[in-house]
Amino acid sequence: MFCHVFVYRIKELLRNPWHLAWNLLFPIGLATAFFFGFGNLIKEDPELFTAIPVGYVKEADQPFDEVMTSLSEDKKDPILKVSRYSGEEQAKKALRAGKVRGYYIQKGDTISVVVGRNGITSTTLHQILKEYENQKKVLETIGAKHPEKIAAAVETIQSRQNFLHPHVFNQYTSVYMNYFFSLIAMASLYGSWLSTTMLSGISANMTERGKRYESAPIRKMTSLSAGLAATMLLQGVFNGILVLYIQYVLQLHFGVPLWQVLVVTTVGGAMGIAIGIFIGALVKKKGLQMALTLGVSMVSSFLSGLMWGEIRQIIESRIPVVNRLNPAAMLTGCLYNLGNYGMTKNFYRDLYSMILMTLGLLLVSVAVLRRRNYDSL
Amino acid sequence: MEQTIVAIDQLVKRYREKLAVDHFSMKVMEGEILGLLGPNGSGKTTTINCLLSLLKFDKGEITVFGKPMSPEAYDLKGQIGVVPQNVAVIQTLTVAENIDFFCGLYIKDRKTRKQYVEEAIRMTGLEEYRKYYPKKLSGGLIRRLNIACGIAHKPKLIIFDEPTVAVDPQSRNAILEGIREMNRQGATIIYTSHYMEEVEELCTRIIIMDRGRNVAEGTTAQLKASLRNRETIRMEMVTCTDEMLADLKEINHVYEVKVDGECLMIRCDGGTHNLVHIMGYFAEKNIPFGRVVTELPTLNDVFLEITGKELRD
Amino acid sequence: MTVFKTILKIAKRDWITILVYFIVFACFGSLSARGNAQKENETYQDEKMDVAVIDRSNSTISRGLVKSLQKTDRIVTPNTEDLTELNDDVRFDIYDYVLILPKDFEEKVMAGETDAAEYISGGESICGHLMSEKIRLYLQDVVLYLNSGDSKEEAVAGAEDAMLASSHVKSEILSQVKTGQSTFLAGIFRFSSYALLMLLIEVVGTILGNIRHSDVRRRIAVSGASFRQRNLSLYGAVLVVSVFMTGLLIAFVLIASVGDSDYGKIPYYILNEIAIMVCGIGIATMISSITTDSSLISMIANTVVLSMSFLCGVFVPMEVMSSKVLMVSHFLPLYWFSRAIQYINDHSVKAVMGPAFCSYLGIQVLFGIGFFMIGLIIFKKKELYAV
Repeated sequence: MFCHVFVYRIKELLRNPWHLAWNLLFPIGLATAFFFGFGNLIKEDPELFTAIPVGYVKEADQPFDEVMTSLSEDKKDPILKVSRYSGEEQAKKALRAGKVRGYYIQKGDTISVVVGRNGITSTTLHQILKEYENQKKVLETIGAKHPEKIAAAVETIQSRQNFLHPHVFNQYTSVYMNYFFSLIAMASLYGSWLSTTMLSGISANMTERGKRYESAPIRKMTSLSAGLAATMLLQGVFNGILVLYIQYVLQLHFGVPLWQVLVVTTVGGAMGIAIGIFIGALVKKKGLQMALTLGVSMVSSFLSGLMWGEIRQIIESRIPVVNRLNPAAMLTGCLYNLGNYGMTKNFYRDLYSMILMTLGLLLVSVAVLRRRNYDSL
Repeated sequence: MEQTIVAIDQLVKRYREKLAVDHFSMKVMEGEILGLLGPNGSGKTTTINCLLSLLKFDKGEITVFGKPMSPEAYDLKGQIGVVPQNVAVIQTLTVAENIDFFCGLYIKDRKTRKQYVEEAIRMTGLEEYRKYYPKKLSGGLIRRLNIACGIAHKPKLIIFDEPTVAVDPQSRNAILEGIREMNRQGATIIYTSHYMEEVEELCTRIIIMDRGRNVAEGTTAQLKASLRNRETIRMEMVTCTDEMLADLKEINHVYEVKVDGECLMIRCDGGTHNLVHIMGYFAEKNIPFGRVVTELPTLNDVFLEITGKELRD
Repeated sequence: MTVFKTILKIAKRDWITILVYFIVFACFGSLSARGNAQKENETYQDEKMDVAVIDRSNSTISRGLVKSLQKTDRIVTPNTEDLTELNDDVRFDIYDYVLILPKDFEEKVMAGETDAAEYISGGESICGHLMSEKIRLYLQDVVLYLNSGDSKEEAVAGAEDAMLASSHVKSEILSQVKTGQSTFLAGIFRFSSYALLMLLIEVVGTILGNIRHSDVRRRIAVSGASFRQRNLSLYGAVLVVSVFMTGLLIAFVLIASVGDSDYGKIPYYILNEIAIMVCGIGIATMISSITTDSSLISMIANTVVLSMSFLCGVFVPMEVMSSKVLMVSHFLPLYWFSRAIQYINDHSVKAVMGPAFCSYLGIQVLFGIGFFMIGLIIFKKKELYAV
C-alpha cells in the first residue's frame, strides 16, 4: 500500500504544472536573473583595491612630488595613478568629469587635497597627505633630539616596515554567493506547497478526493508517510537540479564537493515539506494555508538575505535567536559556512537545527492528523 | 435469511445550533437498493458521512456488516464503495490511473487489481477514454469515472450520493443501468437523491428524509398506498357549476373535487375504472370537456402529504 | 456604474495580497533604504570605519594604538572572539576591519617583528588597505622613537604628537561633482517599484482576468451598457484601484521620511512613481490577456518583477552590474525608473526638471502604453479565434 500511494503521489505532483513552475522553473529563472544581475561580482572581486586616479598640481619641484612618484610607480601594487596638471583649473575640470577622484595642490609649503565627495577613497587620499606630514614631524623631532639616529630613521621609513599579517581562511566563496544560498532556501520552503497539496488530497475536509480517500481502508500513518516520502523526494530532486544548474550551467561554484551541498539542500527540502505539513495540519482554510505558506517563505527568505545580502549577518550580530528560528537562515547559513569554512561547529549547529525542526514539525503534525475527526466537512 | 448490512440507530448530528440529523434510524438489508430521498438540506449527505465515519456524530449507533463502524474499522471500509456527490478524482492522473489508484487502496494484489480495473472501465463505458485526463472529459463521462473509482474493487456495499446531478439523460440511463447490474451481481446499494423519478425507478425500498428525520419508509407501492389519494384526474373544462361539483363528489371513491383555473381536479381514494365512471357522468349530462389526464400518485405526493411541502422546494 | 462597482468589489477581495506587499515594502524597504543611505556633505569629513579590536595585550603600545585609532574611527570591542564570526561581520559590512592584538604584541613590536598583530579585512579592499596603513604608520612612529632611544611611554607620546601634527592637513570638496551616493528617499522609492509592480500585476491582473473570463465577458456584452460605457467603467475602476495602491505606498514614504533633507524632491519621486504605475497597468493588461488564471498571473508576476528588479538596479546597484547586462536592461521599463531615481538623487531640487528627467518618465509611460496595446491586441485576437 505504501509503494502504491508513493508512486501515485509522485505522478500526481510531478504532473501538476504549478509545482513544476514554482518549485523548479521559478528558482532556476531567478538564479539566472541573479547571474545576469551580479554574476560578474562573484567571479571578479568588486572590492579589489586598484590604483586611485588622482591629479597633482605642482608649481615647482617639491619633496611631495617624490611621494607622488613613489606611490604611483610601484610596479607590484601602485596606490595612485597620478596625472600631473599645470594649473588648478585643469585639475578641477578633470575632477568634475570623473577622470580623477581628487587632486593634490601645493602652494608654497601648504599641500591640500581637493575631492569630489566624502568617502573611503577621499579619506585614503587625505591619509596620504597626513602620512607625509606625520613623517616630516617625526623626522624633525628625531633630528632635533637624536640627530645621529636620523639616517637610520630615514632608512626605516623607506623600508615601509609592516607589522600586520592577515588572518587567512582556508576556503573562500564570494559573499555574493549568499544570494544563491538564500534562493536555494526559498526554493526549499516552496516545498511547503507540495506538502499542502498532498495533504489536501488525503483530507476529507479539504477536497472531494480527500473524502473518497478517507473512506478507504488505508491507515493514516501509511498515507502520511507515503505522501511525505514522495514530496521529500520530489523537493530533494528539484533542489538538486537547481544546485546542478548553478554549478554547471551558471558556472558558479559552491566551494566544496557537490555531494555535500546536495545533502544540505535535501535536508532543507525536507524542512520545507515539514513546514507545509505543519501548516496544513493546523489550518483548514485553503486560502489561509496559501497565505501562510507564501508569507513564511517570503519573510524567511528575505531575512536570510534574498533581497538584501547583509541582513542575515546583521541579525546574527544583534538578535541571533531569530536566525536560530528562521528556517531559510539556517539553510543559508549552513551552505555559507560549508563553502567558506568547511564543516565547522556553526555548520553542524545549523544542520542539526534543520533536522530538529523537520522532525519536531512532523511529530506535531502527525499527532494532530492521526487522530483527526471532523465536526463538519 | 437476509442479513442486515447497515443499521443506523437514533443518529443525531448537530452543527452548532442546527440539528442536521435528528434521531434518524434505518436498516439496509442485503441485496436491496435502498433509496434515501429528501430535499436539499434534509440530512442525506450528513447521514452518509456519519455512516462512513468521516464525521463525528453526537448520538446513536452505526453498524456495518454487523460490526460497529469507526474510522479505524479498515476491514469494514474495505467492503464499502463510495461514489460521492461531487466528482472526486485526481486531475493529473488519467482515467485508467485514477481507477487503478483508488482500487489499489482496497486491493493489494496487482493481478487482481488489474483485472478489476479493466472490468470497471468496461462497465462504465470508458474504454476509449482510458488515457484521457479528467479535464478533457464531458460532464457525463466524468461522472462515469467518478463511479468507476468507487466501484472498481467490487465492494459489497456501495453508496451513491446523488450521482446523476448535472448529467445528460443518456449518461443518466447508463448510470442507472450500471447500478442495477451491480446489484444483480450481489452488491447492496444505498442511493441518495432528490430526484423522485430515479428513486422510484431504481430502488427496491425507499426512506424519505426531511429535516434530519425518517418521515416515511417502505417500497414505492407501500408509500403510495399510504396515501389517501390513489388517482388524480384532471379535466379541462369550459364551464363548471356547483351542482356538477356536488354530483361528482357523490361518485364512488371520489373524495375531493376542485376547480383550479380552467381545470377540474378530481381525487379518488382507490377503486378501479374511476375514469370510466366520471366519463359516464359527463356523457350522461352531456357536458363538454377538453383534455383529460389521469395521474397516479408520486413520491412527491407522499412527501407533500407528510410534510406539507414539495420535494423540490 | 455596475461594472465600476464590481471591479472595486473584486479588488477588495484581494486585501490580503495588498496588505502582504505593503508590509514587505514598509518593513524591508525601509530597512534596506536606511541601511544603504549615505548623507551628502558640503564640507570634507574623514570617513569613519567600524573597527573591531581584540586587545589581548593590554600593553602601553596597544593602548596607545587603540587611543590613536579612536580619534579617527569607531572602535568597538566585539562580543565574540570567534574569528569566523568576525570574518563574516567584515564580509557582510558589520565591521570594516578587525584587529587582533596578541598577548605578546608589545614585545613583537619592540623586536621589530612583521607579524606583531593579525587583521581581518574584506579581501584586498580599500578599507582594509587604509586601516592597515594607519596602524602601520602609528607603529612605525613608535618603532622610530624606540629606535632613537626613547622609552615605551615616550615613544607612544611621540607617535601621538605626530598624529596631532598631521591632523591640520586640509581637504575640501569641490562642488558640482556627481557623487553616486544614494539617500534614504532614493532607496525607499527604488524598493517601492518592486512592491508597486507586484501589487499592480497581481490585483489589476486578477480583476481583468475575472472580467475577461469568457462567461462573464459574454454576460456583460449582452447587457444594456454600450461598449464605450463598459470599457470606460472598467478602466476607470482599474485606474482608481491603481491610484489607491500607489497612494498607499507614497503615503508611507511621506510619513517615514519626514525631516529628510531631500524632502523637497518628493514631487519628482511621485511623478516617477506615477510613470511606473502606468507601466504596471500596461503589464497587468498584457498578462491578463494571456491568461485569466489568478495562480498563473501570480507566478508570472513574481518571475517578471523579481527578475527585472535584479536586472534593473532595484536590489543590486547598477554601478556593479556588467555593461552587457545593462545594455539588455535598457529594454526593461524598470531600468528607466531606476535611472530617474538616480537622476533625482544626484541633482538639486531646482535642477531635476529638464529634458533628461522628462525622457525617463516618458519612456516608462511609453512602455506602459505599449504593453497595454499589446494586451488589447492579444485579447482581440483571442476573441476572434475563440481561444
